[in-house]
Amino acid sequence: MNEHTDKPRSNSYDAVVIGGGHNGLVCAAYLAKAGKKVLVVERRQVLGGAAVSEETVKGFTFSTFSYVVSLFRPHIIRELDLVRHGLQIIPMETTYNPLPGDKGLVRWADSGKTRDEIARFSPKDASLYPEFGLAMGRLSRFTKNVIDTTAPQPASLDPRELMKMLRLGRHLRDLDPEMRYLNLKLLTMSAVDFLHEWFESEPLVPSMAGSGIIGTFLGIRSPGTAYVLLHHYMGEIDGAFRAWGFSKGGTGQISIACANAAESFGAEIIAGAGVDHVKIRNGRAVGVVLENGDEIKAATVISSLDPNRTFLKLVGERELPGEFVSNIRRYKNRGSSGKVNLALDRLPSFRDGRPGISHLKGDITIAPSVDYVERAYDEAKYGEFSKRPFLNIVIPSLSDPSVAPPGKHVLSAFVQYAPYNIREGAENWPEKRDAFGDAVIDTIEEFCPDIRECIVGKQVLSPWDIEKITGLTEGNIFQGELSLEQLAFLRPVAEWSRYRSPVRNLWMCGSGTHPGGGVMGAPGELAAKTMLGEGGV
Amino acid sequence: MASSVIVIGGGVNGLTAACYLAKAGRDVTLLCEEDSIGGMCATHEFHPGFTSPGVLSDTSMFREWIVRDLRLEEHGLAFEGSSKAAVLGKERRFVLSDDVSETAEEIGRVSKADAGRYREFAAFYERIRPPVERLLNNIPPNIVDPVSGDLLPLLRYGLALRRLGKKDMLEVLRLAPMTVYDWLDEWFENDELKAALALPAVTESYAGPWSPGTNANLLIRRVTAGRGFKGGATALVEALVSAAKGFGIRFETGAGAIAIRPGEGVETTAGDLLEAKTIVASCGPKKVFLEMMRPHELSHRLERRIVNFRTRGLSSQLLLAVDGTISLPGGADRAVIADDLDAIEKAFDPVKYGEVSDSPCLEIYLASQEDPELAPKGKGVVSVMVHYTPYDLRGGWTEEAGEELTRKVIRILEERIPELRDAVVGRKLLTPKDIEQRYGVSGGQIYEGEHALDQLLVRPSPECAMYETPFEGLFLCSGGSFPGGGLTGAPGALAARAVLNRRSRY
Amino acid sequence: MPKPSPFHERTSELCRSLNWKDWAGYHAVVSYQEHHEQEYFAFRHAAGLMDATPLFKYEIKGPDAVYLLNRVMAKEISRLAEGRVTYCCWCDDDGKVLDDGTVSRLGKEHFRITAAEPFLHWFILNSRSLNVSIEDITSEYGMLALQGPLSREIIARAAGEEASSLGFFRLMRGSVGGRDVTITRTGYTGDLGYEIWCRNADALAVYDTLMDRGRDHQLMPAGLAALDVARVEAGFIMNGVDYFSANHCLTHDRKSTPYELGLGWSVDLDRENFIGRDALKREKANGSRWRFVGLEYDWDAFEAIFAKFDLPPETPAGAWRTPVPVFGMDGEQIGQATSGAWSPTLKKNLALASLRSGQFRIGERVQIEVTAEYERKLCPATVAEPMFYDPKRKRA
Repeated sequence: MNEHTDKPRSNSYDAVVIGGGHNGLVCAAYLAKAGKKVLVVERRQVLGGAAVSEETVKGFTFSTFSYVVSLFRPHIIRELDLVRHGLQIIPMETTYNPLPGDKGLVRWADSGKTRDEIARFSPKDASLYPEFGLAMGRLSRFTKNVIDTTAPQPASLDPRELMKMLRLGRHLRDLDPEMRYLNLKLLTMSAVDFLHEWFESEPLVPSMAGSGIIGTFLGIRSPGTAYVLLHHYMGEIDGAFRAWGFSKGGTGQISIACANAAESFGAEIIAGAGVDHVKIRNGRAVGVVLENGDEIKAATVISSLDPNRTFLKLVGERELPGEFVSNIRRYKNRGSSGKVNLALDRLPSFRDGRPGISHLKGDITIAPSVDYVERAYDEAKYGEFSKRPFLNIVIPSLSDPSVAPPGKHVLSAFVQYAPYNIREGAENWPEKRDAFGDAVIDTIEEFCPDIRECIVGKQVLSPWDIEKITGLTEGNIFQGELSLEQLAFLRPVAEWSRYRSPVRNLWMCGSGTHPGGGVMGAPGELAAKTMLGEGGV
Repeated sequence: MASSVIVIGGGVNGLTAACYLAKAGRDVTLLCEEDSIGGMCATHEFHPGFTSPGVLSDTSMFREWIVRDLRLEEHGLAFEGSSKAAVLGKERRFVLSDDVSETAEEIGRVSKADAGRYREFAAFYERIRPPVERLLNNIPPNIVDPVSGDLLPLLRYGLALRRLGKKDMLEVLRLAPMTVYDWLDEWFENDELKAALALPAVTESYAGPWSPGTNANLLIRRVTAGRGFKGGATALVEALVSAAKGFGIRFETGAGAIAIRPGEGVETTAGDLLEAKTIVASCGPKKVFLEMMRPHELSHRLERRIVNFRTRGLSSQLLLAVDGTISLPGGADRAVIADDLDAIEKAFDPVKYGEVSDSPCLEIYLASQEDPELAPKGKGVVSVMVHYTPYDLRGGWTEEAGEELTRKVIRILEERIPELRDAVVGRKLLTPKDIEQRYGVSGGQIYEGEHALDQLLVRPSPECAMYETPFEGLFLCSGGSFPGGGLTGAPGALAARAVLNRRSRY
Repeated sequence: MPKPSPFHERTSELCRSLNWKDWAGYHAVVSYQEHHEQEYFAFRHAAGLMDATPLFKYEIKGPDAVYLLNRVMAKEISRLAEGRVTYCCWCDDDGKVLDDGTVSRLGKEHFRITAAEPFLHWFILNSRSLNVSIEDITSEYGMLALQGPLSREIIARAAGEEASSLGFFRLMRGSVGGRDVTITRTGYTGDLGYEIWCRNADALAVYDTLMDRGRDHQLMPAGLAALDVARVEAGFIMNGVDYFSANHCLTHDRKSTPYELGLGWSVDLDRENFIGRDALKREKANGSRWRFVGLEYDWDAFEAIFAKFDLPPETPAGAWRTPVPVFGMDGEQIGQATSGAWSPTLKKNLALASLRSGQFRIGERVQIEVTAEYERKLCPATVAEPMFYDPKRKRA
């Protein structure tokens, strides 16, 4: 990849994309591929937004924020030829749920082994487990249809929209009634209630339910959290080996591959160049003004930043209809998670008596019981970080040795809950940060007594830090909560869910648009395709 | 002699269904033990000389169209002038009623901004009422397994929704899955007001105000609530019984139902088989399928779905016999104690771990103010619904556990209603376990099933969501059917409609 | 990684080919020798001993055991006498087969069930409010299949004379090498045979005793490859090959009913409700979409296809299970063959197939796809009842 300067080669473009996160880059790549003259403007020196890899500790590459690849759309990999541009995804095989004083529960790719693991807690659950996977697999075929197209517009009278709803209706009709019922339950129920219809055993239910709360300010008992369970099963129908994986070289490598692809199609990228505001003339976006005062003209301005930041900071209320502003204001961005990245001198030893390391290569979830995870949430609701948080840990260096010196390791712990709005006020996070980091390490210590001896470097990120570094409002990793009322035709707000905005020639392409957050690339791709299709660029 | 229809259970839904069927010319027998007439509105003496109202007492959601259809006013039923509930805050008290201006004025005493917002809030619900009412007052569309005939009503709902205009339509779609917390937070600033509005939306769900989907409950409540009846639930039951007799319904009150034999009849606790081709059950779905039928009669799928139908009871009722009269601000007969939304959430939190909060939220009902016959002259009966109390209390509902809860509640009551101090002469606590036993409702769930999004349109299960069941001639009509629990009469009326729609067969 | 069965110490010693596979989470021998032919012939001419431990084994006990099994099984289990074994299948609500296996009645309230796939949850979920205990005993018991014409002599020498008079589909408790065992006269080879259940701790002793008593009768350890040929000859269906458990099918069309699998004889419809009854009643009245049949390749035509390329006929080396389309004589596809084998005993090329009812008759000819020299050809085959090999001694 070329080093990026902060000076554009030209001062006029077909399109300027604000923000060099993976969605901005994907969007730019598609536009450039279609022959447009495109410039991506990134505030930080490093590209990737929340999908970055940084050598925070010398010799150790941290995937600072986003740490696994879940739903990155395979057709984007094909269409942008991302593998040629450096993308390589290493599948994650296992899900490990350590338990105090026990071997814990490991779910393997091998069904027989998984059955034996679960049977230690409930033979019935073990026997039922494959059926659950099958039902989820069938349902995810429908969900795939939803995330791979622009959101339907139920209020629209446009025949194309009606056709589209009809098409979705047909997909829904093709599901059998049992699946439709399951779909309804999945969309509305809590992860725990939903799983309890199938399973009874403690470590299995919280271990599975954990995926439902990632990035949300909800507990595993909150309605609406069941839906994300599907995501675990979607990779299979995408034709991928596993749903989740590591990007070789760290998550930032995805962004680098997207950037390389965009550049190969002729897009230009500048970094270290923050946008001060979107230049608007007569209600029409005409370019951006950088923080250094430089002005760049563009026929189309596309923001990959979150809606709050895009409209309330870069555009400004005066340029927007009052109702739109109040809708953006009530769009919920509550950050709920933090991140602790550790550079380790050696692999810590888990107190589980399990031989070897194969069970540590995937995802390690600290969720010993339903109550444990729910209590973590209860604390956070009232403005405290969880003293015993839910953790989603990965040690990518076990699968990808390139991210740490030989024999050494990188451990990344995604932490929930860490509310942005702590009781003392978000701006007081810096004083709380150490205590927060300690709570996380204390929690890990319960399972790995020697973790403290292994640490040679650490990075603790509160949602406040995430906001400071990436610009994500309130540190919300999905650019807005993925609750039902903020999805599909309501994302980010009703009537503006098609990447357009009330300002002419200003478009959105970030995770704050349909189909939402995660390292999917879908918003960027769908935004670009919509713009191209509607002559927006 | 075999009658054509047996209605099991004499609660509001059973009586309503029976009346509609008899009115349509069916030969109806209502099977219900004498002291259970009224179902969850049935009264009982809980302290010498003091009679308790039922565990369901709020008649403001009873459908006006049922009153008209069954001419209940001719049977002595009369609407109240207004329904009022006092908010007993830490420092201030104000009264919410069905009169928007009055309420806005009251709210103005605590927040000027909220007073204006409340008018808009009320106007918003008024605007969106038609399509929502239309949905709630009809047999629900079959959304899980629509056959072509069901698509039409679905389309009609869609069109009715569209008629609201783009903005309101999208707003309705947006608000239903929301948390009542976020929704009310968008509207109001005063904590006590928000809490008072939110409480009824969350009390019979396994949910606090932070739970997504609770806003749908608020929506239903706002759209369907009207004025209650003079004399409360007792008056409603009396009118229904009188109407039922007028329609010529036979009351079989010597025994209760113990087993259902679809297509044949009902076995009674007395050991008889009452024959009838059509059976309409107003007991909850779990009771019907899991207790009154043998496992092998059910398909695997139906059994699993009914087992999974969530009926976790969350409320207790504390009955107080008081000396003298208690009065509430504005002459209200109801009051709410919940200081803010977080207080409700915090009252819910411990339930998840099988515990009871130290500061439960309370809904107070001056039962004897509405129905003086419940208490001796000069004395009163107060019924307090306590939220939340888990059915499965860790350690069980022992006597001490009940005593501890009672103390907690009385402490709060005495703080907010000083007249109660030293006035309590008798008390009785009904925990969810007691409620289950006394009223025969699974899990002590007074709505016969939690009000959650997935349990609303498909209630209790896809094959039974339209009151019919997979069993020939067996229909459901409890609160465990659409549109849910409470004294609405709607499940009863709609189930009767479902029976009559199948004219050819039943 | 699969785990070892309680016989692993012996079987791993004997397995010279290192030809293993994962069978339901266990290491299982495909063939002990490089080619399975000898093991197959042991089944047909002497006796073979196969480790069948990986079959899922459930124990159901209690006053409501019969009620539960009557509810779950398509067969009326209350009619199964103590000391008897029966073969049956269980279905979902739509009458689609979930799995098939044997039910042994050890006592009035005591049953054992074998299954090809994990179904513990199915029995547990359907036992709500019943007084019954359901236990997965798969990993507590070893199971051996002693199959072949000389198996009676061997069982007599190993377990006593009483065992040799055990009737077809009967069971007895006995002892082998001084260890308690349960012996059933059942099997999956279509020949005379026994299946022996023992506790894990007794497994090696039982194995050694059987091998020792069998030595004079040329008893051989046999693997799954030999079994697979034998079961095709016998026309026994296999879950996951000839049909798929309804719970594992992505589409409804993939599911099968007992009638479609030739298991209609095992369905008892005229009794109280059981899971799938209504759907099965309807199917019985309206007819089935599919029928399970056997196919015998027309040898001359088969030979001719290969002769065209100047090749000898390539008969399959073992049983195959990659589905192959089947056509009518008019060239229209009427179904698929799901498994097949060259029968070394019958000298016939055989297949098991599901064909659309109404599009063929038993004894008529259809065409099955054959690949010769990378080219797809159609070979005529005769439709037969799916039981190519059925020696009298099996039942006697």
